[in-house]
Formats: sequence, structure tokens, C-alpha cells
Amino acid sequence: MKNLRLKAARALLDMSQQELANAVHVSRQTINAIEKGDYNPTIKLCRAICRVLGKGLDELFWEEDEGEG
Amino acid sequence: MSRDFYVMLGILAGILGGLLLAVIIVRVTKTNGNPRSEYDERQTAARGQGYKYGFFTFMIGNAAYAVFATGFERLPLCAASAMGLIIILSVLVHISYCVWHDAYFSLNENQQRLKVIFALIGFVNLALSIGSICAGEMVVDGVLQISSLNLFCVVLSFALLAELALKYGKGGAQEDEDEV
Repeated sequence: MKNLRLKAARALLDMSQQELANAVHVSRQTINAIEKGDYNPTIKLCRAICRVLGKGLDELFWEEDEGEG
Repeated sequence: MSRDFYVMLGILAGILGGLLLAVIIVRVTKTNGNPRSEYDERQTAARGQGYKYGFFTFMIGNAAYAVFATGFERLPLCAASAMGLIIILSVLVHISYCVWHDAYFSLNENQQRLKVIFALIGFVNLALSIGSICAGEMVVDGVLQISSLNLFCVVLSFALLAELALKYGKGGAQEDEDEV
């Protein structure tokens, strides 16, 4: 599943994938894979991304179950 | 001086030359002074998977060689060439997997310089191969000799460059466009 929230948060700061990748010390392709939903990052990387984008883990990576109210 | 002494001297010079070359390559291709390649977590996982496939290739190659060496009286390549071929094939599988999963270049690598070095390695080995062929040392009595390792290195170097061109070249599949 695509992570559109991550993409939106990055776009809000006017950051490119490369800039975010440099900030969290990963490759641009890794950021791209996370946004496309092709790669499931570790909690360590999730936290680093959240720190750079100024968001919480819930805001970027938590997936609500459809049944949950 | 005996011939063995000169052989040992040659081997020692080869090892020292190889080490010196490795140090120079590391110095030239790393961008942050750290001689170790830095990969992120996705790359590390992909490289591990690629290594697994390379290892399987190595095992299958060895088993195939054992079968052919037992089943046939005479193989068209000497034992050293066969081992070299199996190693080159295994490395090719590993690096191909890494290239297609964006895990070949580390985060602190100067990609252009590394490509130039691979091209140089390819051309040097190509020159050595042509020399061996002209001297009649490549194939003796219908059997591929140890000098064929140079030819295998040529194939490896240019196959890698071709894969990189296909993957990252202008005409290649750019599936990961940066979209802000």
C-alpha cells in the first residue's frame, strides 16, 4: 500500500526524496520504495523520518484497520 | 636462483600489487573518507538476498562441475578455468541482483569513478586476453587454459556496466521517479 501521508508530509516541507534520504542517511531509492509501499522500514528508520519531517509515528506510519472505529 | 623462488616472488608481487590496487580503488571511490561501504537497511537486506542467490549458483556450479568431471573423460576447460568460471558466474548473479534492487552502490560511493574503474579493469583484461589468444596460450589442445580467467573478467566487467546502463541509463526503466 502506498504511503501517501509520507509523500504529503515531505512535499509540505518542499523536500525532494533525495533531500529526505540524505537527512536520514539512506538511499533515494529506499525513500521511494517506502512511499510506493514496496519496502516496510524498521522502527529505527521510521523514527528518523518522523524526526526530520516533524511528524509522529502514528501520523505517517500507522495504518488504521477498516473495522476500527 | 631456482624457478620456484621466482614463482614465489611473482605470487608475492601479485598479492602486493592487488592489495595496493584495492587501497587505491577504495580511496578513489569513497566520498566521505570512510573505507567501508555504507548501505542502508533496505540495501543490506537486498544484498543479503543477492548473496544467497550467488551462493546457490556457486553450489550448483560446483556440483555441475563434479558431475561433468566424473562423467566425461576430457572437459573443454581446465580445473582452474572451471573454478574461475563458477566464481565469476556466482559474482555476476550477486551483483545483478544488487543492481536491479538498487543495492549495488553504497551511500558513500562515487558511482562515476567506480564505473570508470570497472571499464579500465575490463579493458586491461581484454588486452591480456587478446595477448593470450595471439600467443596461443588461451586454448591448448582444445582445452581452455587458466588465462581464460582474464576473458571471464572482461565479461563480468562489461556485463556489470551494461546492467548499470540499462538500469540507470537515460533509455533505461526509470521506475522510481522523484515526485515531490
